Amino acid sequence: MASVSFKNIQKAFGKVKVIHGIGFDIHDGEFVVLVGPSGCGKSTLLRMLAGLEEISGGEILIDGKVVNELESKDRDIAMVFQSYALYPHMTVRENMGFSLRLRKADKATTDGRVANAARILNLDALLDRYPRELSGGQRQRVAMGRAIVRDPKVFLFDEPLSNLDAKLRVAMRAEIKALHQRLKTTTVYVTHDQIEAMTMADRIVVMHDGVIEQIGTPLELFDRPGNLFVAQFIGSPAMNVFDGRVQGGAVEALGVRWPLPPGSAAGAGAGHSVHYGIRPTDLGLGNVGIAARVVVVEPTGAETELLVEVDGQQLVVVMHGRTEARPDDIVHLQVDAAKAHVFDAQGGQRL
Amino acid sequence: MNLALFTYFIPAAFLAVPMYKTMGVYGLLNNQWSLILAMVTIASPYCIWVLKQASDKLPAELDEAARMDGAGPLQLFRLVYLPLMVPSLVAVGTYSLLLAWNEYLYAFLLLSRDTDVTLAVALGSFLSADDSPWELLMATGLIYALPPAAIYYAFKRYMVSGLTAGAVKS
Repeated sequence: MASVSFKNIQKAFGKVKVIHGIGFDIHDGEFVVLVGPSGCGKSTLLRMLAGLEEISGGEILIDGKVVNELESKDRDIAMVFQSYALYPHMTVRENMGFSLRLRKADKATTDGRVANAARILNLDALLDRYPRELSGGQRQRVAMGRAIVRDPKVFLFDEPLSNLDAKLRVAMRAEIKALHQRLKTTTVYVTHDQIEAMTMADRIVVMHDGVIEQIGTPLELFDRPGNLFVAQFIGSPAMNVFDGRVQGGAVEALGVRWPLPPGSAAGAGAGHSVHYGIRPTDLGLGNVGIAARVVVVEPTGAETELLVEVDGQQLVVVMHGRTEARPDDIVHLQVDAAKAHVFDAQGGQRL
Repeated sequence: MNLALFTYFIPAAFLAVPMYKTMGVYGLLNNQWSLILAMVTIASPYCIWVLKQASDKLPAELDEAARMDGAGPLQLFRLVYLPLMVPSLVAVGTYSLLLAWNEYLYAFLLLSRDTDVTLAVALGSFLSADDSPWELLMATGLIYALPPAAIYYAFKRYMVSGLTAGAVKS
């Protein structure tokens, strides 16, 4: 177990800078998820921590020790790759024991640790099979087993679930989370899937274009996104966002007045251009409120998702239970003002 | 890398004289090494090409995974790359072996002592006699054909693709 620190990390591939001075700390035993759209630099950051990518500037510390110049194998970290990267000519047992074999551990130790990891991951029956004889989920578990056997200071996961089908992904998500709760090893997990990030992380680091947009617990990011990017990235379905103007303690947008959240600094600047954001779950239907035309109704059983239109702007409403509304009906939207978000029109910062 | 294959555009007969002369300069004529070196020269471009293609196909993640697991460059080569290259190594090995086994022109040119000649040249010399001993030629020909067939059947199982199946998700 160990802490990890990034200090002003920069990365350039030739003349192209992909990471622009990133700094944050990961505490001992924490599960941190790096999330962001493709090309935001999250995988590169992870690979720099792994020692697979050179660091162009700044320092990475593991347990207070600078590891910039250390080889991967001397950093005492284990990584699970998106493509599993199992050795195809070795059995599951040999795959998992490979790192110990390289360290010249004695056979009893290796066997014991492989058996232990296999028990944790439910791989006991598969130890003598080859990777090609395993299903995707089983291969993923072997890749995790290979990491566990090492008992490393830090676990790195690089989009480990992207290649699995939806159902298996949910199951493996829970398995990884349970594994972390059991082993309590510091973990850095990279994903582009914000649901994975929300469900697994102790803290989430949202990245975009090589910079950190916000760091916080999943619920902090959900409840108080620091800027427009985070607001739109976190949450599914995504937050409804539209342009408006502050006027008399409310935001005028789409031809109607939308309530400001209490205590919002936006109230001060009358005439200020803003982005108004409201999550689909914070919009409700009632007898009075903002009139909207129903475009699509999508029942999912427990919830119903409605796509509605206000003044040409499409908004998503998620309501518990069911609704009688049909396409082209007029419904009335009620806004939970306490949960509205207002962002500066220029910089996108939260107001 | 594909440039290596260009060398095959030049016919072997065209290179025979320069090769003979070169071996002469190094004093290797009538020495088994001359034929060995000549065959290595002829077989290498194709073997290099095949091995390069095969090694390029090995997933880079395996390399990274092994480095994370603590493998040094030599261990990486010996424990990960070499085992995965076995089918290609067997393929180029078989190719080179059979090429040398069947070689006539260079063997005929470079080795001329009766005690040194290869089987292919010896077989050919039967034909040069006015009255060819056909029954002897046929019998020797059959024996001559057995080793390549045996080699092929022995190594057939290695010459399969798909040894890396299951390494990475494709």
